[in-house]
Amino acid sequence: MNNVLSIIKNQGLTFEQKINSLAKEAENSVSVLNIREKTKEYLENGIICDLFEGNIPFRPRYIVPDYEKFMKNGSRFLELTPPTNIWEATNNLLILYKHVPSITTMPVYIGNIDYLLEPFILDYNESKLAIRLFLKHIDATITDSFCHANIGPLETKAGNIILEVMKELELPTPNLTLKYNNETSNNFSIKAIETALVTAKPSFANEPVFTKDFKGDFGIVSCYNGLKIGGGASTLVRIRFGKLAKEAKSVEDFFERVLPEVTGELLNYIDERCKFLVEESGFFESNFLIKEGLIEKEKFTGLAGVVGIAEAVNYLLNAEEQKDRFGYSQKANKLGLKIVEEFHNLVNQHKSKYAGDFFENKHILHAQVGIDTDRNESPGCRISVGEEPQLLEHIVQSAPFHNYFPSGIGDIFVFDETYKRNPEAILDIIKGGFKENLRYFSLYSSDCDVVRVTGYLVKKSEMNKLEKGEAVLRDTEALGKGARDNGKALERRLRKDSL
Amino acid sequence: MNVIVNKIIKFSNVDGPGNRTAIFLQECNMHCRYCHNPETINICNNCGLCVNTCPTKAISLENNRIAWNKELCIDCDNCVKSCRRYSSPKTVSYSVQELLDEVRKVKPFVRGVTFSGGECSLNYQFITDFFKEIKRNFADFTCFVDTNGLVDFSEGKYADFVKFTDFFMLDIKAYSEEEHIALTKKSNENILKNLEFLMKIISFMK
Repeated sequence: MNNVLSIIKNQGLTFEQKINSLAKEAENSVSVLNIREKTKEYLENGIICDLFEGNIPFRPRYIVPDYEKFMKNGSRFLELTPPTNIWEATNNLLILYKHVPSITTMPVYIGNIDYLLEPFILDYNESKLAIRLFLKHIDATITDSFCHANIGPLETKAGNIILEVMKELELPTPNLTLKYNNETSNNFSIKAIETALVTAKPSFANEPVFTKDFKGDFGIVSCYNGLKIGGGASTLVRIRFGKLAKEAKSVEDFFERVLPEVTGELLNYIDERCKFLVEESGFFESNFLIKEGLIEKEKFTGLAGVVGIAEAVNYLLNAEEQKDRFGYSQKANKLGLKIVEEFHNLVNQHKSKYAGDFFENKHILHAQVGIDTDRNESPGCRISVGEEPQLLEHIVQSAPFHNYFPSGIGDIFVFDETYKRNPEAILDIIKGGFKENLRYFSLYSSDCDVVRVTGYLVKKSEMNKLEKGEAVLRDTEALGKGARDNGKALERRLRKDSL
Repeated sequence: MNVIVNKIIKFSNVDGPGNRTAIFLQECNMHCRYCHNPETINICNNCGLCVNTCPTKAISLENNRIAWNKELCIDCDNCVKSCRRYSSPKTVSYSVQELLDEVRKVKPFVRGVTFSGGECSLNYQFITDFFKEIKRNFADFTCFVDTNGLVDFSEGKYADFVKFTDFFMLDIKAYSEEEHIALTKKSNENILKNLEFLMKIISFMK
């Protein structure tokens, strides 16, 4: 009960953050999962980490509703008829957002908002006001920046207004991704880059790559997870590869003994979490999102997460000098790829009735961006911050990893403010990267207040408030401060001319 | 035919629109007071003065010629600082094909190449040959030169150079003759003449 009292008395938490923390306390006071002894060992030593999802999976981690269907049909449960103008459209969406659960309790996906609003854009000024209020409402009420909107691939009036308003507001939430393909106009892409150089969003997603992996519609969700529209992810459990590597006596031992064993435990644990959600929680029977066809159980899967590939490789090769380390040496890069490939094969061979038919009953891979308390674990397959090579080498090194992670992987590049005078240069780099099959590309400028920590966005000014002990609106600002202090997340290499 | 390259910047956002590969050639026919890369002004005369300033022994004299080992170099620029003739031992000689191979590595990410310097037009024949190869191999590439315009591009010998260059970035250091001489010790007569000459070509192109 000590925790309960200390949550209640904590002046650094908002009311909403207290309620969520208290709910988590209650959830964690009960144990329902049948966790194997070996898995427990891995959970205790931190090699397997469920990102504090809690003891009882009573809602999927990520939900990706079919908002187009909602706009077309309205909702019986919410007593909403289909919208007829921009005010009804934004209001209907804002209402639904409050009823889309997730692991943080707040929606992690709020739709391809440009396409959703485009039919209602008549007068520019009125539409801009509606969209401004809509986005401000989201930022102030969905108080963590794992909430993600998508735009594109095609340029629309709504898409242009959304970018303009985001550039003016400079708010962390919602996160934003532009689905980019050959049909995305240069005008729209440049506008997106100019916006990102001010407010660290949108990121660019390689639309054809995701479309192929998800056999059609997909959403970019939370940090940068690709997921199926009308579905989502039941859970995400990850392996800390930096820590795992230290269990191995040699590279051979890593592949023959260590990796298969931990992956077996990971998959069993993912299944156990999904099993409770599917068979006992009642979520898929009772929630109105299911009843109204906005999500289907068969479009959900589990996510197997990866962090610390860089540290694992450097440890296994005992690589001290820069030229021998991950990101530089061919040998190190190849070993990194081999680890990911082997892990992918093990996950891919595992069929589970708790992964949906849409995914052929398989769980999929996610390059997790790390959490605030991680140490010595670089996000996903990223090169460690402070060791980044030149931009060209960096992109060419990272591209082959992207193939294995349909549910998200990507680097973040910080550009010098001179790029504001030549945003076309960044578009050329993104186009080149996507030709190399890069899946996702994030950018911001060195002089932004809104910055991308590891996947989500924070305001530097709010983190400074937090440092002084003041309560701040978004929980992600606390996470951002941890990642800044423990993970050097804001010390990425600055990309200037030639760097 | 070879050319002496001081530096290749694979991704440059300040040498024309978009992302471009900038190639800096050694040797210049001006010596501006504010030059930001004075080590590109002269060709190395192999005097060897810089050899002992290198902490990693990346520079040596072999058969009385300066040799630079890129693998050992840590870019401290001690050699450049010690040079008394505005030159650098850290240059590489390239043939057209070798330079083309360098550009090929960057091709998906850039929309063209820009020659700079030093003063690149001193190597106009090489650049002409190189641009011809670029046009043959990478049809969508644009070919730029960043020049001080001191030589007269309307002369017949520059005809192909002008023809195969898509855009000239003409650096007019000062419009007033007096000021130009104060900055560079050279008259700007040819430069302003080139401005008119090149503008005519551009309007003709459009």
